[in-house]
Amino acid sequence: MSRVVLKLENVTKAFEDRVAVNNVSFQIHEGEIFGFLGPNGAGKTTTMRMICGLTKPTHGNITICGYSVQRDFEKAMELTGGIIENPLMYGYMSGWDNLKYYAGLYKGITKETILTYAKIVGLEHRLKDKVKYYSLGMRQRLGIAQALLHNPKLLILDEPFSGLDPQGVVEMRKFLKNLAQKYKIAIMVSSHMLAEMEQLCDTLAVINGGQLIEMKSIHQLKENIVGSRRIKFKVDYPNFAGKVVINEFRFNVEVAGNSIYVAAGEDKVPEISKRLLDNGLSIFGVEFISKTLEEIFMELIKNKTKGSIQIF
Amino acid sequence: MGVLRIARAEFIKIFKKPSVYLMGVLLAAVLVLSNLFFEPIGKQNFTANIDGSTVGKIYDKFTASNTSDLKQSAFDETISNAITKIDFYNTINTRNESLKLVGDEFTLLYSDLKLQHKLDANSAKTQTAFGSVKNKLVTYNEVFNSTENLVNNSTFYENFTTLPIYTEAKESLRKLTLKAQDVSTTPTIFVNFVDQNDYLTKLNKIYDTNKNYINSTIEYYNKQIKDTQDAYYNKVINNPDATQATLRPLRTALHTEISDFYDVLVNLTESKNTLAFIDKKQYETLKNAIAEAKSLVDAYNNNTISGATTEYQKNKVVITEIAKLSLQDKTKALQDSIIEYSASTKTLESLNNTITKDVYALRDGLDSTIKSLYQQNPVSSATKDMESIRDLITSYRVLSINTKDLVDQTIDLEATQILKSNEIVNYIGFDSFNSYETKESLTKINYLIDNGEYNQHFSDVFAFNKNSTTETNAYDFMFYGMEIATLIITVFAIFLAASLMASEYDSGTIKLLAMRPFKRWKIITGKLLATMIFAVIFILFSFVICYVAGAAMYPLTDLPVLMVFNSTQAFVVNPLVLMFINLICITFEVFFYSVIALSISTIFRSYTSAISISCIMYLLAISLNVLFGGALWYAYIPFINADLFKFLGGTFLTTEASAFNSLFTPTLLSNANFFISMGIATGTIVIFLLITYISFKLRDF
Repeated sequence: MSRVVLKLENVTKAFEDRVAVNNVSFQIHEGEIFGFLGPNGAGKTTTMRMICGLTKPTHGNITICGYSVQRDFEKAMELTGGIIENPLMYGYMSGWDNLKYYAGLYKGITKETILTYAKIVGLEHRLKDKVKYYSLGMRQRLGIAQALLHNPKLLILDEPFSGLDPQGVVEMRKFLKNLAQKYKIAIMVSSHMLAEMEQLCDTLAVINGGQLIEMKSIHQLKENIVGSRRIKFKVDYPNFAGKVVINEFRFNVEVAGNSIYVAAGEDKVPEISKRLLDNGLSIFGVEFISKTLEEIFMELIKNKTKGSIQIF
Repeated sequence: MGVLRIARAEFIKIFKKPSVYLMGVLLAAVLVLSNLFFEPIGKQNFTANIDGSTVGKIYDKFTASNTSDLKQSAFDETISNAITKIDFYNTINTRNESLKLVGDEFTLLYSDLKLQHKLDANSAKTQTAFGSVKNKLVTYNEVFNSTENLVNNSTFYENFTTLPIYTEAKESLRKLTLKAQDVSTTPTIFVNFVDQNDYLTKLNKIYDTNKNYINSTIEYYNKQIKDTQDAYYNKVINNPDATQATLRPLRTALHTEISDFYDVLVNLTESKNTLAFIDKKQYETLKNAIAEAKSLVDAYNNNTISGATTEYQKNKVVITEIAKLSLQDKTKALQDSIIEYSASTKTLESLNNTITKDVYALRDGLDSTIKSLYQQNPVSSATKDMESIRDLITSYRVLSINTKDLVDQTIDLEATQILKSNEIVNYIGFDSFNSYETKESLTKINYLIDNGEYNQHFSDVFAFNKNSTTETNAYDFMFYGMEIATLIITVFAIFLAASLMASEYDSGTIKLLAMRPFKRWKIITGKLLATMIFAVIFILFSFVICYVAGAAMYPLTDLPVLMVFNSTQAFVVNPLVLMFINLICITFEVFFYSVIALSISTIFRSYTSAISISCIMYLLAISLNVLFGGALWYAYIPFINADLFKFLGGTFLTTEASAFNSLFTPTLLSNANFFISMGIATGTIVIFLLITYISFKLRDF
């Protein structure tokens, strides 16, 4: 089993008038990319701010590689890098000077290291320019570069894809996957971009109204998707057709109106069609039905947060 | 370590701002421009410029009886006057004590005699008691007459002895003694004589009258003026037919009393020996009223009263106008404010000791050195010899001046101790007396006398736009330049400290900073440290400019500086060392304002408010100095106390300073104290830092 890098235990953050994060617990292991999904105001950023020590939890513990953020702040933060809410950086300084400033806060970060990370995020040609002339995407890259300078074990990225062009998104994804695989960095990413998250993350957590609604690995989610796949056959004798499919294939079958729904993948269409035709049935139409990840999450949010009408 | 790393990173960041270089250029430009306004006030030069072509000729002028005030006898007289002054106060002290003692003893003995006389008028015991009374009377007379020599030392006291209150007391005592010593006087006759004429009451008054002779004198004139004024008034108002013949004597009498009183009042403050603390305002009011009353009578005599045609009308104008002046009320107000003083016997003894021992030893030393120089080579005109003799004479002169100051200031200081600081301001006026500065001056004089030195051998402590030596030297310019640079650097530091924190909030980078592996207090401390390194670099940069410019324009005098720390301790330091102490004081002041600016920008998260509040504080600190330099509450404002260099001397009374100079010359209150000021300033820094640390620690980003 790989090491636990970040561990939240019953973390609650209450403000005077509301509870922003309510009793959240999860773990992130090294090399794991952890997606944090949730609508606006769900508590994503507040959770990340607590992890980075920018605000204190009302209850619960946060530990990074065994160091408590509250008690061993300096040791915990030595191992953490990140960007929260995409800051503007120091506009009057060049990208290089910005990176040098942050590098200067740690011991023994060489110019080569800075340059390496600048290259990794693809900023090497613009390092001499003042940051105030950077685009949002470039600033985002600079933010990630500064977060990586001190070689952290945990990377916290709040909305890293915002402001990136499609190509940038692809590059960023590759880059983060590489980081996680090669350097065994645990990465926590928050985003609304579900499709991206699906491709990037190993684990996805959904938070809404401050509560952790669901947390599943991508494998489990994929299984969910697989489990939701169905083929709809429009036939003349649906009950008979159903029996045929059950007897021949042992697939789950539902009968509704003049259609049967077979729980099977697309690849089974020719086989099942042949069987049905062989048994003298007429097929009027075939349709492949599958739920998307998005639909699954919508359901999750609808089901688990009673009365909530927030949809992302 | 963390703090240093933050400080270093922040420091590098500061120099990425183009405005920093603009600041440097601005600072250099101001320093260059400030040169145009450098017109230092000169230092009083005591050099004895006795001309003469040879040592002998100079020596002759020094000893011979010409009119020069640079001659030995004049200096000796100054010293002996100081001794006389001590004697004067000593005599007053002794007389007061003795009069009280003798008076009380006499009263006691007399009551014994009276008791004994009642029991048995002719007993031996009565005779013995009478004998004691007689003896006591002799002593009484001796003590009373011993005060006569006070007359020589104070014109005011001389005036007092001519007043009836004094002469009557003297006469009573004389008559009583005569009666007692008359062989035909028996105890019975004596007792009857005393009781009938109420001599006991009269004698009891002697002590009070003599002790408070200033008040008694004023009281006397007050009564005289009131009586003559009333008589004149009644004659004019109630008798419209009053003739000139009847009015003239009254008017003349009033004029005489008013004139006499005026002279007495003038005498009170201009007398050779200061006798009392007088409320300046009350004093001026009364003096002006008296002068006006006098001029009214004069106007009558000169026939210049307008609006009146007949003699009667003229007289009426004069007397009603004088009545309007309500002289009696004003006199009463003055009397209430008068505090008579005399130096304590102990102080006088130590003063006497210093002069008779140290001063005279120094004087004799100088005398014999001058003599031997003269005897060795009276015809020499070698520069070395000429300079030596002039220098020795200067030292002689300085010694006599110092001795005079020593006595005057010691007595002033002791007398003012009974007054609270605010009373001192009312009584003497802030401009003319400041006990801190008097103490400072005394410490200096005592140091010079104790060490056999003369103050022309030392440089003064630097003061803004003032020469520390008789010629302008490079250090004077350096100090001047540094004071102006401090003004600019402090404002720069305020801007910087405010922006270091506020800009992090503005750009959101505070989040990136707060999640670094540093506790929050380290971030604040690191930023503060970076500001201070920046400030110190600017201070050193200005110092180099000022040093080079100063040394290029003026000589770099290496005359040691005689400085007085906190008005009580004298030190001799090299001027360069003092200059570095000044740089440390400047750094402390800049630190003070940086902390405030950083604090406000952290607490309010606003660049604008941090800068405006801190700058307003700083500018107030400077300008309040001009406006409220003398007010008491002023000393307790925290930001007034950030400048600590003033406790090394170097201040000078505001009467000497123009508004421009006052801006940069801190005034010290009578009750100023380095440790209190340091405590207030440090306390303010600590409180601001604590608030900042706590609020920053508790803050969510």
